[in-house]
Amino acid sequence: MKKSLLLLPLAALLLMLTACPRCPDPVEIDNGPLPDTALIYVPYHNGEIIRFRHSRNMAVNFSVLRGTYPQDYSACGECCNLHLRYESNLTTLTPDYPLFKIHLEISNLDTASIWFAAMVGGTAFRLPTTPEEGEEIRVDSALVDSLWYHNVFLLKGQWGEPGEEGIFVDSIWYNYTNGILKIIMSNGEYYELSKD
Amino acid sequence: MSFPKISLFLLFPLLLLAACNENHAIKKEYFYLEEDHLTWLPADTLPEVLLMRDNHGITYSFFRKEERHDFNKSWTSFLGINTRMSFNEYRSLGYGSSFNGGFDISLTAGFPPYGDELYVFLNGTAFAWDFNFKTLHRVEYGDLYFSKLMADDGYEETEKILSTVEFLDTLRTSERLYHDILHFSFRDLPRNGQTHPFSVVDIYLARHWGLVRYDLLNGIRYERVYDAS
Repeated sequence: MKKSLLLLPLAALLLMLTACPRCPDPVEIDNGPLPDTALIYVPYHNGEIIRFRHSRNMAVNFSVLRGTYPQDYSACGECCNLHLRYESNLTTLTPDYPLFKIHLEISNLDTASIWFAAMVGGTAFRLPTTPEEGEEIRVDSALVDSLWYHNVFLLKGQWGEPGEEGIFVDSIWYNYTNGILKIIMSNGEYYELSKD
Repeated sequence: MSFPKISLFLLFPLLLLAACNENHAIKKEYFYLEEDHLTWLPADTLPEVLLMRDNHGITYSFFRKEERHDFNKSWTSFLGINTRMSFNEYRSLGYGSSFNGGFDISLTAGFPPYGDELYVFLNGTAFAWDFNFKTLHRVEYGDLYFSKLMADDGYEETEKILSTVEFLDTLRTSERLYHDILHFSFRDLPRNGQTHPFSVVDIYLARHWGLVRYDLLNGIRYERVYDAS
């Protein structure tokens, strides 16, 4: 009788431990390397210098750093059900003047369509990678610093930092051949691609 | 002989209680900011958005993220008992920017012999000024800092601070003439050798107006403007 009494707490502990559902092994998905065809959305090359001119004439040079890196993504709630491996091609434009940096990212996180996004001075932009996505925001041509550019997307910032006020990046003009053509600030000042 | 034993037994838990309760002390003191010093941090009149324009015509902004007005608590204890608690009035404003960086300004009431402290942080450069000792007692640059030691009767200079604070009668910017200026000049950069051309090296505050100008190491100058366009 005494022995069985001693076994009771042990059994209760075992029950408690086994009562909790165990997480199943996560599903591992490897999206493989980013296809070369996806890289054409960003025209910038590593080490290149891109010049923008402010609406009050100051020229700012941005140096380009570009590379492709492996990425991991885990979808976790109580359990991590999904573990995804994919690649991102990251481009950073760093100014030689105390302004914001520009970040561009192309990735194959979703294999159905390539993900392409930009972050300019705290404002995020989702860029199109399919004709359907770009249809409504595309114009045939746009004039920038006395030059005409074709197939230009006019993109409005989708979200900024929470609670952001004051002067921020409002919109950008972009095409696949030349990259960012124009950055328009919320107060009307702008930066245009300069070919000087 | 039994009486002291009993009183010792009684005293011990009392001591423990007193030692463990951080909200009780033998003496409580409140220190308030001087009215005159509050004019350097006019929280009620400073706008939500500070607009600055550089000498190439590019406009930047700092937007208010945080505002605090409360009391900082500090304790003095002896043998584990809080003998004194100090409540020092504290006011601060914190600004962020979509152009990277930020601006913080705060005032902390001093306890004797120290005076009220003005602390200003701008894009990685910061300083603390004691109004009573008229001393720049702390300078910060990124992760580096230079400070004076707080002793019982004032500051002891353990390391030489080259930066300065001076008070100017007026400062003229392209838009306004300001009166009563505090000018912080950061001169401790060369010692660490890790200079960046975008480092803030001069900060100008105007009484009642807050930040009105700052300069970078590479010569770029920013002045307060009142119209974003």
